[in-house]
Amino acid sequence: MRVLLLVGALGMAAGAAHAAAPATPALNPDLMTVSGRLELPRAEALAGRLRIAAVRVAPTFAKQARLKPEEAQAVVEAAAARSLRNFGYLAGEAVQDAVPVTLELLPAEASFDARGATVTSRLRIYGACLDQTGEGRFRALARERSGGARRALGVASSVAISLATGYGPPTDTFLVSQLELASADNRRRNAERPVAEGEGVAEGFGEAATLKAGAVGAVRMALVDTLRRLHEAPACPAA
Amino acid sequence: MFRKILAALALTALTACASTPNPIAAPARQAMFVKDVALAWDAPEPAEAKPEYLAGKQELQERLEKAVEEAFRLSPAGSEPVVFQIDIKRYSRVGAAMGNLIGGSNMVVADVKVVRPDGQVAGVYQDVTGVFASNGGIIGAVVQAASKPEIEGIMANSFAQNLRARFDAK
Repeated sequence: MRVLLLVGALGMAAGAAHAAAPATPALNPDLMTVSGRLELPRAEALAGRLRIAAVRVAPTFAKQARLKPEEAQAVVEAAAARSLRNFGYLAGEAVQDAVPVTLELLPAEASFDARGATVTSRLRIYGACLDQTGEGRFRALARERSGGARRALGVASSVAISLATGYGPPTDTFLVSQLELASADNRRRNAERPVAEGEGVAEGFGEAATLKAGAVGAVRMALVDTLRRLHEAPACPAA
Repeated sequence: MFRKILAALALTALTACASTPNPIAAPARQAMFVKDVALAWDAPEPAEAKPEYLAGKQELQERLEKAVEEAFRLSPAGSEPVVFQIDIKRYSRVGAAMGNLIGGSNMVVADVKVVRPDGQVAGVYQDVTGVFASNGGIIGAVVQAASKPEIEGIMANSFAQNLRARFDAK
């Protein structure tokens, strides 16, 4: 009976931890979008002239970002369009002589070391009068694990006291509080890690999550470089 | 009977929380980026401020701003700069024994105003909370006293995540 109660309590604790974990969200295009925060120069010669005709995404990106090809396509399309709009490059619907451009996300290169993954991504934007390729590199730091000792203490105390007293697990509150505290402290620890420009901490644990963070960050950095190049590009003649 | 009434009241309260509408429409949120985070302390001071309160207050202010900045560094990713003005209304800090055995909480509650460059307030997220939960009973009190967890850091991060969830809500 005691063992059954203990197993039940541990199951409930695991259930609570599972319920508290957020469902895996769809990839937010914001994570790849270049916002006004970067204070890049706004469009001049190409201001309000570009219209995205097509977006091509290398299959390697979908694989690295753990997305279905159509999801990868949609998220890159959204991030690129919003980045161009943020800095004034996209033509309004009424513009007659907009320049149709194709965006092509080329295959990325990734490498791993003990602390994380570095991904280099290239984004080509081309049309009748322009052909620029931006390059971005992003280093995703592997998410650090912590709290193992606290979790072990919670479980061990719960088991020990339950067995010693002969009752059901009277310390399940303690167990749950230690599991919650370990998770909360781990989130804090990762959120407070210092990162340089072009670096970030992966949202999830493990190599795949780190590579995903690297791939997403590298596209954003490639968009930054593309926007800088577009700013330097000459004006397109009117059609 | 009394329990049933309490349960019904609790469910009603939860439903009310879940259905709080987002004060800023999605297109307006998407057009923004968070340029700055400002903090104001309007929480009433306790009549007799204990050392953990005073030390915690100082540390929380330093960490809260950074936690919110980090949570909103990449998203939203628009072109309109906004400032998050965090107005701390309540702050409570309790010792390990109090929190784990008797009750009371380590908690911060604030209203967050989203302010446009012209000073216009785009919306206010009211009563955003950050909590450090301590309810581990007598063993929890002993462990907390011995392990000294980063209470302010956890509260600040919890606050930033709760604000993020409120901002992203439909």
